[in-house]
Amino acid sequence: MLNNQKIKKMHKLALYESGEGKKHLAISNYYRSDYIGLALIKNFFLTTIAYGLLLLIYFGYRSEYLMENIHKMNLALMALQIIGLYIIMVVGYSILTYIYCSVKYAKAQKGIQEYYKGLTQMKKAYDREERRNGRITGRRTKA
Amino acid sequence: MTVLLELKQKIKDFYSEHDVLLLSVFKFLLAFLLFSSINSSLGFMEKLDNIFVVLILAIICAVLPINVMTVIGCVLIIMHCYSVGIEVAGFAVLLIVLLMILFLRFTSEDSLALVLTPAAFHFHIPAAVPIGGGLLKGPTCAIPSVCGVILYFFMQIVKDKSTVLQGKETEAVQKLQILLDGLMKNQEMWLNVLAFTVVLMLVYTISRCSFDYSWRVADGVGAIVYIVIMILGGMFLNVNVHMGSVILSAVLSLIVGFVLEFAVLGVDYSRSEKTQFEDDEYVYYVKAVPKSYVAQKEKSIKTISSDYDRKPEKEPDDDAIPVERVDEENFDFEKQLEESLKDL
Repeated sequence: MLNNQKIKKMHKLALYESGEGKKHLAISNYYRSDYIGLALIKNFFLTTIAYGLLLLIYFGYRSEYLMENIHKMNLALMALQIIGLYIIMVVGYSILTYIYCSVKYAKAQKGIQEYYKGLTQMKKAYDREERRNGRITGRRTKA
Repeated sequence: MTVLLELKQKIKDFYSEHDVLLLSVFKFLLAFLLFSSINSSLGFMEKLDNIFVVLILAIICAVLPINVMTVIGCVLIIMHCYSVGIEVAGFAVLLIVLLMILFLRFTSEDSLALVLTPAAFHFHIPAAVPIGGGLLKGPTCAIPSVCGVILYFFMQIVKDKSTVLQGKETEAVQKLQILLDGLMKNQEMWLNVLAFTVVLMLVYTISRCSFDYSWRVADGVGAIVYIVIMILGGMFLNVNVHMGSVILSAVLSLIVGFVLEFAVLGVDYSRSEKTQFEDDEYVYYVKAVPKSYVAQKEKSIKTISSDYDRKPEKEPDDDAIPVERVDEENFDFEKQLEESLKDL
């Protein structure tokens, strides 16, 4: 006979697995430090690319002015400014990424805990059913 | 109201029955609107500005996740820009990559707002996006919607300056300057960015409050604040804002907000209850607001017949096993038992 309670539970678990659980399970494969560390490395490269693109646009936009005035400009100061802005941007985005990933990891852990709780309940339900079937047929289940 | 609630229940039932199909249809419609709005805004590549291409792309989007729609939309923008000039396409790629790296990578789940914003501008209801985002999503929804505003105004700049950008005398650097100035010095765009952010935050904050009719108040405040920001901003920033269209947009967005409230929240504040209790550590102030629910009337068809002797025929259940009626007096139990023992 169909067990409605079990079907409901299975449906809930399957829904989670195919929905946000897919992302949560992928995240939960990592330790927290590994997950955040990897995200920070990825962030470093992405921020560097973005900063490079921003510089490209800026120099393209001011190219005429730069060509005319490059001999008058303090290039060392300009380089310092560029590096300083880069460091500020990388640090800022790293902090943002750290907060974002911490929150995401905590959410995933919470979801996964609920999922495992559901799985344990399912296992118990299966064990109960197996014991009941064993009693009816007279077969002994393995301990 | 009861009729509306019954209708809502019917729609919910219908949606729960055909959710896969309906979701695909909604995605198809959204993709169709988005691609049509991109084509009508830009429309420089004739091969893409074709109803069949839009239909095919919309069908593809109907079966794929919503992020694919965003990607296809961006590709369409880049290809139209390519028809204007390779420098314009390059700038479009740079802009989209920058938006993705700097902002959108943190809000990949709210990419619907990015898609909806240009479509909402096309239909002259831009305020519907921050109001809807504030009601249904959260403050993070401000990022994709603001990116959508930037993309929409970029398309407008390309459309307005297309003759200059297509000109062979214009150098690549000049084109870059035209596009960048058009974006960075576009007061209307920044005004919209400000209005979107403020309205979304306000609507989100008010709608999460526990007072009665908080969603409706949030809708109203959002619409009024949108009008005030746009009109005052228009006056102080020298932006040509049409007062009538702003008010109309806010009113239409207000209606969209009410429809969303009815569809998503649907609570009956007249039956709300308040209770207070405490344990060792906390005092709890609980307010429970019941959801509006109307039980649907089940139609029963009763056949009235004048023939008294005729008994109503029951249709057998598909699952039930037909049992043969046996006359108990003529039935030989012993014989039957022996036969079943033989089988064993």
